[in-house]
Order: sequence, then structure tokens, then C-alpha cells
Amino acid sequence: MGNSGQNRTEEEIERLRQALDAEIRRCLEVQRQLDRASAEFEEFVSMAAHNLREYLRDVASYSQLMAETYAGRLDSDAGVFLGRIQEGAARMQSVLADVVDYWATGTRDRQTSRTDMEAVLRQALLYTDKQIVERSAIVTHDPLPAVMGDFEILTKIQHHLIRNAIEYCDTPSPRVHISSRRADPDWIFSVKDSGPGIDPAFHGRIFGVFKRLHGKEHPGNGLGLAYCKKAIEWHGGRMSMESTPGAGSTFYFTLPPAD
Amino acid sequence: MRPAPEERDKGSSLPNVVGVGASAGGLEAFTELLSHLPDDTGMAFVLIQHLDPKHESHLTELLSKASKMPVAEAKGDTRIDANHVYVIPPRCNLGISDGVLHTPARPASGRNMPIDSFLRGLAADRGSKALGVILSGTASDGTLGLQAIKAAGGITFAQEMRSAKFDGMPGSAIAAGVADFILPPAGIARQLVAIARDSRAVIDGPPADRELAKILRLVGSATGVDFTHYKHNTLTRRITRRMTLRGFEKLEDYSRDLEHNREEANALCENCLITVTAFFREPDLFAELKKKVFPALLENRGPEDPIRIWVPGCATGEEAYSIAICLMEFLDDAKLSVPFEVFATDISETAIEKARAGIYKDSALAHVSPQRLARFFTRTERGYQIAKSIRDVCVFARHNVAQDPPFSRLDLISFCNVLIYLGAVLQRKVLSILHYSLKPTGFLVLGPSESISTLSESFHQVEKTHRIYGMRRAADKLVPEVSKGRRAESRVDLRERVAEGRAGLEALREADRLVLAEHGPPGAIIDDEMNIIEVRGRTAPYLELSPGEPTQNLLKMACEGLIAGLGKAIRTARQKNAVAREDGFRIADDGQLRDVTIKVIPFRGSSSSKQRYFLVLFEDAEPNGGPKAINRPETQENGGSARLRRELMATKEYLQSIVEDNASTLEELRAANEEAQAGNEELETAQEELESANEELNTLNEELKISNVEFSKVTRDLTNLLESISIPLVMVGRDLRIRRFTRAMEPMLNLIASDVGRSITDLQPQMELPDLRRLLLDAMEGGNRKPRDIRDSHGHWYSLRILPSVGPDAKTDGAVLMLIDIDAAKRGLDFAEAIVETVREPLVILNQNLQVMKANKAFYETFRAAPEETEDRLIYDLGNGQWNIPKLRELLENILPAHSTFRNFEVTHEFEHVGRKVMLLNASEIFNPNAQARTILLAIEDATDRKQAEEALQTTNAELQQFAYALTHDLQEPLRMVVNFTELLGREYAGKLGEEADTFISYSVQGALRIEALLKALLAYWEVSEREQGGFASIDCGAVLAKALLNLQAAIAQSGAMVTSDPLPTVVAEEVMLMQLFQNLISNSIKYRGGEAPRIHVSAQRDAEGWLFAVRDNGIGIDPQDTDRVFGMFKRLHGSEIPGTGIGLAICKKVVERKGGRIWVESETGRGATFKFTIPGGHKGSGRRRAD
Repeated sequence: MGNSGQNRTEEEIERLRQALDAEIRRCLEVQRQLDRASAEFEEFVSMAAHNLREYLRDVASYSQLMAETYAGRLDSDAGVFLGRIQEGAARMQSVLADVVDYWATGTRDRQTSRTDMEAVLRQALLYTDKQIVERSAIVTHDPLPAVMGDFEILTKIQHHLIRNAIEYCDTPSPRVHISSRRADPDWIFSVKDSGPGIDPAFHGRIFGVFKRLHGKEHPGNGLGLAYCKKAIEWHGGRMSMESTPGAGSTFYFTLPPAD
Repeated sequence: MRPAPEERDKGSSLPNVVGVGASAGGLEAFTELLSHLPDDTGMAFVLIQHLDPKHESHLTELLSKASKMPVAEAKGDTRIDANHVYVIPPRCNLGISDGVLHTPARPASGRNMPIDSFLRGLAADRGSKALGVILSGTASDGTLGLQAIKAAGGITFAQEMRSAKFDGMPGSAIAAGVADFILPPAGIARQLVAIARDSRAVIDGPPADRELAKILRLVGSATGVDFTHYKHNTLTRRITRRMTLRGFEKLEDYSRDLEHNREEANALCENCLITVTAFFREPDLFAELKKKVFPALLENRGPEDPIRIWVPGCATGEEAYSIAICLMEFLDDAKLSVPFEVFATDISETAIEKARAGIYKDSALAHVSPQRLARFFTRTERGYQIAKSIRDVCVFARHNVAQDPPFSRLDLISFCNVLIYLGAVLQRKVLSILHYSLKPTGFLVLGPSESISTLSESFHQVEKTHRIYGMRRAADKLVPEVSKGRRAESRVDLRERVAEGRAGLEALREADRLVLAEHGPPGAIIDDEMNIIEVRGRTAPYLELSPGEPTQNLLKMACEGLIAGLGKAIRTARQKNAVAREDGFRIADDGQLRDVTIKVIPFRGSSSSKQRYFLVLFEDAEPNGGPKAINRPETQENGGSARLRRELMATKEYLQSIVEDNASTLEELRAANEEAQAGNEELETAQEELESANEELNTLNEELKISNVEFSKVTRDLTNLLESISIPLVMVGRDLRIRRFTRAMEPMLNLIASDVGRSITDLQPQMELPDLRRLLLDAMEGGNRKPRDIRDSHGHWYSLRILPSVGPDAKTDGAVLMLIDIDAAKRGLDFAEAIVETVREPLVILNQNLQVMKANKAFYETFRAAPEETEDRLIYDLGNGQWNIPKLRELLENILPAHSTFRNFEVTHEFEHVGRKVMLLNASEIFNPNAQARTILLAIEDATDRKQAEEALQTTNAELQQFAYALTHDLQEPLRMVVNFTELLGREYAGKLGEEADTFISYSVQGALRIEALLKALLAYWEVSEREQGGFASIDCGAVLAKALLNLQAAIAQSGAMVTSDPLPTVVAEEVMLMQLFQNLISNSIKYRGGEAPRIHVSAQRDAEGWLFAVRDNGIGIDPQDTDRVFGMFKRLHGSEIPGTGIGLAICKKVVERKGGRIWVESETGRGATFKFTIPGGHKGSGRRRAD
């Protein structure tokens, strides 16, 4: 009697132990799948973007070669054709570059150095120079500190934010102001614009990939803010925004100080 | 034939008084009662209603409406008149004396019992003319009052319980048996009317003496109780009462009924014997007993000398018990342990039975203090049971004090309220019996209206108020005239005594006797009484048998001439205790006359004996002897007359001595007679005592027999019980000696039957019982009783339990040690506990009530709970009832009854400290042979992480898919543009601009188409890989390489590269990825070509891990320092002069590593590079195909 009861108990315990192991295995498997899904996707996108860009380069370089080689011998139609081919290739290049940037950010080891944010801003303004002139935008800033970061990436972030601010401003002469303040230990940077503001309904997904709130009237690959957020987080900072419709938007991000 | 003078006053001039007691619901009943009463009953009615002292009473007005009689509130002293109703005023009690109502204040404290108080007063005042009625009400007020009335010869009523709104009071009275009639109010009214009529007819005169005597005779023959000498007026009252109850009007009718109605005779007898008795009826009396009597009794008393107390006429035992309690208290206070016994006797068998049972109603104990109640009584469902300690010292017996032999050597006799029922003759007789029974130092207690007057010479008063009497020292023991015993006549047989004497001598020298017979002088030996014991020699001349009855008396046998001399000589010898000699006797021998001398020698039979003997010798006188010579000269005549004179003288002397002898004998006789008489008296007394003792013994014996039967029954039951439960059990006394054990215990403690009486600590048990002595003593002191788990020498587990055993006096007199087999449970539990702790999964063991018996560490860690807030709690109560989930409840509650289990019951719960948890619950029964010990094992799998991961996976997959879709979509539009225009360009200008232009166009078109194809392939791959997680197919690496080369056609053509390969195997991998891997590596080799046309060779060989692939080129090579860095993201070693995104090799590394392989490069600057990677795992043959 005692023995059979004991055996039954033993079996029960053994069964429990196995169930637990199975559960742990299941859990690990899901975790692995999750990891693999992200990794595979990253590989997939990176590989795709990489190869697509190779092919694009073929297309772009040969059309370029044609245009240069046969300049004057081509009729206007051919010029238009080549122009369109190059335009399309450029757009694809741009999307793929953004995609690569976006995915590459998360995969790189973090290697940061002392970076002067004023220098970053100057570089970013260079990229947006054309847009600023076109829209008669006024970009102002307070003195900015030095942080620990990657100059190139930070420049891209600033570029995206300023371009975004000007792009979505529907009034002439958009205004953008960049400032910073210390919130120990980090620095908080803000990029404030005079735009129409963003409907609170969209606040939740504004940092998502390919989440363009507007139609095709605004250029951009829909990866800008997603990239910014990912890149800031890669730096160990946080990104957020505040906006009131009709009263402009402010994008905040934090970065670790250089000192 | 008139009432006694003192009765006349009370009897005729005053009406019968009906005391009516009522409380809650009583007004209604009384109203009904009154409405049925006419206004001419000749009775007066007094209503005692419990009233609220704070409110004015409107009873009078209310009752006036219902009653035909005038109703008045009793105010001050009110004389009672017939045909009136009197009502108790509020804030007062009511009393009555001499027919006048008076209104004493309510007692300030304690229970107020106005009904009892009035009815008792009524009984005392009115005797048989008191009637009591108890109507509706709660509690028990009135019961004692009715009892008093009944005892006084009055008639009592209780309202029938069904008709009473509240049946407490009537119920109590009925249960106590004090109600003669149990009727609804209207019935009571009718009966009252009937009694009123009858009583006028009967009570007018006492019954005729002749009839009374007949009745008493009838009762006496039926019951054995002789009432002849009881007080006649008491008897008359009781008989009248019975007649009233039975509805007889004439005494003759009643006595005729009695002739053949034995039951009525018994009822009448019981009725006549009614005594009012109660516990501690007169508290002052008991105080006096404690103060004066008990101390006196204890003087000079040894511990072995019991105090003996007799309570004759004890009725139902209350008084006897009260005295026993009182004495026990006294002894306890004095810290003395003197044994005592109380003999309680009564004529009534029924009363004695009640007394023996010792169970009393609550109402009977009204005067017993709570302390006494707690100490000397036990509450049972039938009432209060007298404590065993008291019961045991009281011996009850049926006994008629006037007829049966009394008890003796008593220290105290309590004879309260019995004498009053006895006539003067009987009083005197009984008192003398009591006097006889008491020790000289004893005491007698009488009732309040009794006195010792008839025997005041024997008793003296010790305490006047309570009639305690002591014995008068000087008084003679009175011998009671109760004896009926016969005693055997005692006879002293003379012959026996002679034989006895002879026996001592018979053995004396026979030879001597023969010699002496021949040669000695003839003679005889006589005893003190002159009986001849032996005759010596020839005595024929001196002795002869005289006519008549033969005798041995010497004097009677002596011949005529010798008698006087013999008598004188013997007397002289006896008086002087010396030899006496008489001579000068002449006897005729053979016709001759001879002179004879008589010599008497006294001697003792032996030195120790007191018996005297005398040797009587007859000697012939010397013929020429001196005296003879002197006498010779005398003449014949002279000589003859002288001799005659001498003979006469001697005869005179002899006569004189006889007379003297007679006188002294007479005196002796007288003295002996007196002695005999005294002895007789002593014997009689002794016999009385013996008979008393015998009586006691019989009584005791009877009691013992009864208790013995009960005792053996209990013992048998106990033994059966103990053996049938087969639990190892041993009982020990306070001294730790074994008193009893069960057979199951024998092997455990190595017990044998003879171990009973041995100390348990002397045993050599089969198991470790450390500290057994201390444990037992602890348990007896009421200390630690927690069971302990112990194991025997075989490792079998038992739970050791020790409980104190309680003796009859509620004190611990030992302990019971039990061993309960818990082996199966214990092993199961130990085993389970051990496992439970090792399991990483949270586990809970629940008992059959679903209380947590145990939870493991994992449980406490996972749910951040502490054992103290978990164990012994219901699982539903844990942590704010978070497990109280109806479905779970149902499942758990079903497990034990249905032996069911459940698996993977998913529960999601937001825990206060732990947050959201997704759990899979599994539960099953842990089997135990003991059904009570079955438990449930509840396992809680924490699936939270997996669930979260699963959700994250889904989200990620969705997001990624969305991303892929958006990407493809965003690329699609510019791609279309590129494809469309390159195709347009090709269509419009192919062959128009020369060969080079055609090549350019063709490359552009092919590039665009390849982009389109790659996008499609990648999207497809993604979608497929979404569906088939990790589903790798076996692919032919040669075919994959061919596809890759096709994609690189433009670059290969442009650079003039030559790509060769060894036969490549089939591996398990994703085709697209593998293709891109080859593509990236070859593309890389083309990009970093040296001056010559690139030559690239792809090879594969088996190695330990799987396949080792190599892509060798003849390019610029890589500085060995940089061979690791080339795989870094964005690490273009050569700046921007060479086109590329800088991620190609990084991606290659990732792809390979994720397959579990390695990738590295072997190179020297300027000597080309060889990229090598491995793909682990099995393979299926190898497609040996060459590609170029």
C-alpha cells in the first residue's frame, strides 16, 4: 500500500519535472524564434538592401555612362528616359540607404567618443542647406554641449529632425530652434518647430517604421523618426515628443554627457 | 370530634387561601381562571404576579373586569377575607401570617422569588388550607412554594403547559412532581370550586378513631410502615388530602377503597411521609455545625477512626448530602483527612432511590451557592448530579428508625423534622434509640419545632437556636427495646468439669495407686466441692452409696457416724489450707465397732492449677492411744454419753458451718447472678451493635454489589474498547507505574502481563523513548501535549501522544500513552517533502480541506510569499484571495472525491507584488492509504516568460512582415520607373547607337530585372520562412553557385573574371541565403581585384564539422592585421574608391555563424585572399557539377 502510494507520488513528481522541463524548452524555443526572427529579418533586409544597391548601381552607372557617352546623339526622349531611370534609381538608393542605416544601427557595436553637438548641428545644417533656402527657414540654437556619441549617426539624427521640422511646416518661413539642458547625468536636447503640430492620435506610432502620417506630398522614406529613435537608444538615450495641434511640435532626446 | 384548639383558630374562622403565582403570560391565564370562579367559593385568592418595579400596576382594574369577586391590591397589612381577590403591589413582596397579608420590601440583591416566598409563607400559615396555583411564566419561581404547600398538606395546581403562553414555571413545577393537578385555567377554576365544596364537608371534623385505626392498619399491612404512633392531626390532614384528591367525601368510603387498593395505600403512605427537605435548608444550622459540632467531633480522633453520621428520615437525601458537603468543606478548610461516613435512611423506598441517584432539579438547588454547585455537583442533562466524592461517603438504606435495629457508635445524628410527625410514645422510643446509637461524645440535631423534652435527662442542649444536643455524661445507657433476637441458653455441665479435672490426674501414677491401695490407709480424693474423684484402699466401712440418685458427693456417701466429722475436717482443711484431723469416731465394721480418725490433706492438682483437691484418709485409731487412755476411766455409760455429746457437738458445729456455707453461697450466687446479668446486658448490647453493624454491612454490601455490577460492566466495556481499537496504549498512574495496557502495546515496549504495577521507566522498549519520564510528568502537570514523531528499532514511524488521565475527583491521576501508526503517512510525507523541495517548479501540497500543508521554496520565491502567511491557510485565502478562481475551485474540490486530476489549467492573474503571471496549473491526488491523510499536489508552471516571448514573437513577426511589405511597396514604384524606362530605352534605341550602347542598355535592363527578381525572391523567401520556421531544404551548392554567377554576370563580364569551382556538395541550407553568400564573396573578390583579371576558385571539402568551403582569389589580398576587421560592419578598408555598401562581409559572417559555421579569411597583402567558411551538419551525396 505504502509502496504503491509512494510510487504513484514518485511518478507524479517525475511527470511534473518533465512538464517543467518541457515548459522551459518551449519557452527557450520561443525566445530563440524571437531572436532568430529579428536576426533573420535583419540579415534579410541588410542582404537585400546590399544587393539591391549593387544592382541599382549597375543600372545607375550604365544609364549614366550612356548619357555621358552619347550626349548630343540622343534625342530628347532618350534624355527623359535616362533622367527618369536615374531618378528612380536615386529614390531606391535613398530608401535602401535609410533601410541599411536603420538596420545597421542596431547591429553595430557601440563605439562612442566625445562629440561636440554644435559641430554635429553645423554638419546637419549643411545637408539641409538646400531645403532651408527653398523654404526660407530660420534655424536657431542655444549653445550646445559635448556628448558621448557617434558623430556620423548624431549628424544623421539632427538632419532628420531638422528636415522633418521644415518639411511638415505649412507656413512660409518655418522656424526651428534647438536647445539643451542638463538633467543629471544626461543632456536633454530639444528640437522645436513652428509647424502645425501632430494630432495626439498619432503620437503613439510616430516613431514606427514606414509610418508616414501624410500622403505622398511629403518626400521621405518613412524611416526617419524610427531611425532617430533607434539610434538614440543605441546611444543609451531616450527619445520622446510633445505636440499640440496648431502650436508646433518639440522632439526631445537625451544623450550621455562627455564629461 | 372537634378540631384541635390551635387548628380551630386557623381552620374555621379563616378561609382557604389560594396563592396564585404568575409571570409572563400569566395575566391572561389568571383572568380566565377568575372568570370561571363564582363569587361564593369561600376561598380567598392572592395573585403573585412578577411586576416591573418601575411601572405602576393596573392589574387591579384589569382583573376587576374579569372577576365576580372584589379585587384589591394588598396595601400594608391586609386581613384576608373569603371571596376576595388580592393582588401583589409593585415594588413589594407579599407575606402572610395569621391570615394577614403584609408587604415586605423586595430583597435588595439576589434573585427575587416572590412566588416561592409567598407560597412558603402560605404553607406555614395555613397548612392544609393552603392551595397553590402556578400559571404561565418563565424560569422556575413557584416550584419550591408548591412543594412547601404540598408538604403542609395543601393542594397544588400547575397550568397545563400547552395552555400556558410560557411554560417555564408550570413546567418546572410539573417536572418537580409537586403539582397535584395539571389543568388549563378553566379546569383549575372548576377543581377549586369542587375542592371548596368538598373541603367544607370533610375538613369540618377529624375522622373517627376507629376508621383511622383501620386505615393505619391497612397501610401498615400494605407497606410495612406503622403509623400508629404518628401525630394524628398530621395523619388526618394527609388522609383528608388524599380523599380530596381522590374525590372521597366520607372516611368510610375511603377506608373501604383502601382495603383492596394497594396503590392508594402506597400513595397514602408516601403522602404521609412527605417531608420538605432541601439543600442547606437552614444555613445557620450548618454554620453552627462547622463552628461547634465538627471541631468537637475531631477532638482526640485518630486518622483511622471515621466520623459516623446518621441521618434517619433522610427523604430524598438533600440533608444528608448537605451535611456531607458541609463536613467535607470543614475538613478541607482544616486540612484534615479524617474519613467519615453518612448513613442516610428512610422508610420510603422511592425516596431512597432518588437519594441514591443523587440527581436534583435546578430549582432544588436554589439555595446552593455557585461555589458549592461547581465543586460538588456536575451538570447533566437530567439536572445536577452530586459529586462522586460526596456520593461515596453517603450510604443510603431503607430503614425504619422505630422498628429496625439502629446504627451504633455514631458521632452525629441529624433528625430534623421527623419527630413532629410522631406521637409522644413513638417520640420517646425513637429518642431513646438515638441516645443508644450515639457515642457518649456524640451530638443530636433536631428540627426547628422539635425538642428533646421527653428525654431531657439524657441530652443537654448545646445550641439552643438550632437544637443541637449533646449526651449527658451521667446518663445510663438506655437499652432500647428493639431486640427480637434469641440467644442460646448457656449451661455449665458439671460432669464435664469433673472429667476435665480427672483428665489431669488420670495419668498419675497408676502403680502408686495400686501400692497405696494395698498398703496405704483407705481414703478418697475429693475436689473443692467434695465430689469424689478417686477412691483409695478399702473404703467400704466408711463410705457407702446412699439411696436415691447416685452421687459422688463424699458427704452424702459417708456413713452415718462420719458425716459431721468429715464436714468439719474438710471445712477446717479448706479454711486453713492445712492438714486437718478429727478423731474419735466409731463406725460399725463387720459388726464390730471401730474408732476412726479422719485426716484431710489439701493439695493442688498441679503447680499451675488453682484447683484444690483434698485427700481424705480414714485411719483406725490407736487402740492404746493417749486420748483413749484418758477416756478409759470413764464409765461405759459415761463413755457412751460423752461420745454422744461429742457427736452432738460435732453435728452442731457441722450444722453451723452448713448454715454459714449456705449464707456465703447465697451471697456468691447473688453476686454471680449480678455478674451474669451484667454480662447478659453486655451481650445484648454487643448483639445490638452487631446487628447494627450487620445492617450497615448489608446496606454497604448492597451498594457495593450495585456499584460492582456497574463497575465490572464499565471495566468490560473499557477492556473491549481498548482491545478492539488495537492502538498501542498504556496507562500509568501518577507514580508512573503501569496500570493497564493493550495487547498491541506488548511488542512495542516488550511488555508482559506481569509488568502491570512496574514502573514504565524500568522497561526496555523496542524504540527510543527519550525523556519518557519527563514527558509523562509534563503531561500530568497539564503541560506539553504536542504529539511527537518517533520510530521503533525497525524504523517504523509512530506518533507518540501522552494525555493526562483524569480521576473521579477531576484531578489528574495518571497518563495515557498512545502510539499511533503514522508510518505510511510519515514516509509519504517525508518523501513528498524531500521531492517537493528539489523541484524548481512552484508546488503546493493541500490537505483535504484545501489548506496549504506545505509549499516549496520555488513557490515562496515566485510569489514572494512567506511560509507563515501561507501554511495552514485555505488556498483561496492566500494573497488577497488571488487563487479564488471559481473554475479552479471546482477542479480542486473534485480531486479527492473523484480521484481526478487536471492538467495545464491556464490561469492569468495580476499579482500584487509579482505582476502579471500566466500559469499552468496541474493537480493530482497524493495517494495515502489513510483516506483522511490524502493530499493534493498542486503544481504551478510559470508560463509567463514563454507567453510574453510568444506574444513578442508574434508582434515582431507582424512588424517585420509589415516592414518588409512597406519596404517592397516603397521600392516598387521607383523600381517600376527604372524598369519601364530601361525597357523603353532598350526598345527605342537598341541597335541604333552602336554595340557599346546596346551593351550599356542591356546591362541596365538586366540590372533592373534582377532587382525586380531579387525583390520578389526575397519577399517570397521571407514569406516562406515565416511559414516554415527553420525549414531547411537539401540544396545543391553547385546549382546555387551557378545562380549567383548569373546574378554577377555584368560584373564578371566587365572585370573579365574567371570563376571556377570544384564539384560542390549538397547541404542543408536556405538557397537564397547560400546564393547571396557566394554572390557576396565572389563580388568581393571581383571588387578587390589586382592588376590581372580576377581568377576565383570555389572549392569544398569534408571536415570534422561538415563542409569547408573556400573562395580563393588572386586579388590585392588583405593585411593579416586586418583579417578580423574585414567582417566588421561598415568597415571598408579601402575608402570610397571601391564601390560597396561596406556591409557585404559582415552579412556573410552573420549568415554563416547563424548556421553554426565559421567564416574567416587567409591572406597576405598582394597574394590574393582565400575566404573560408564551414557549414556544419550531414550531407546527402554531392552533386558533382562544374560551373564556370
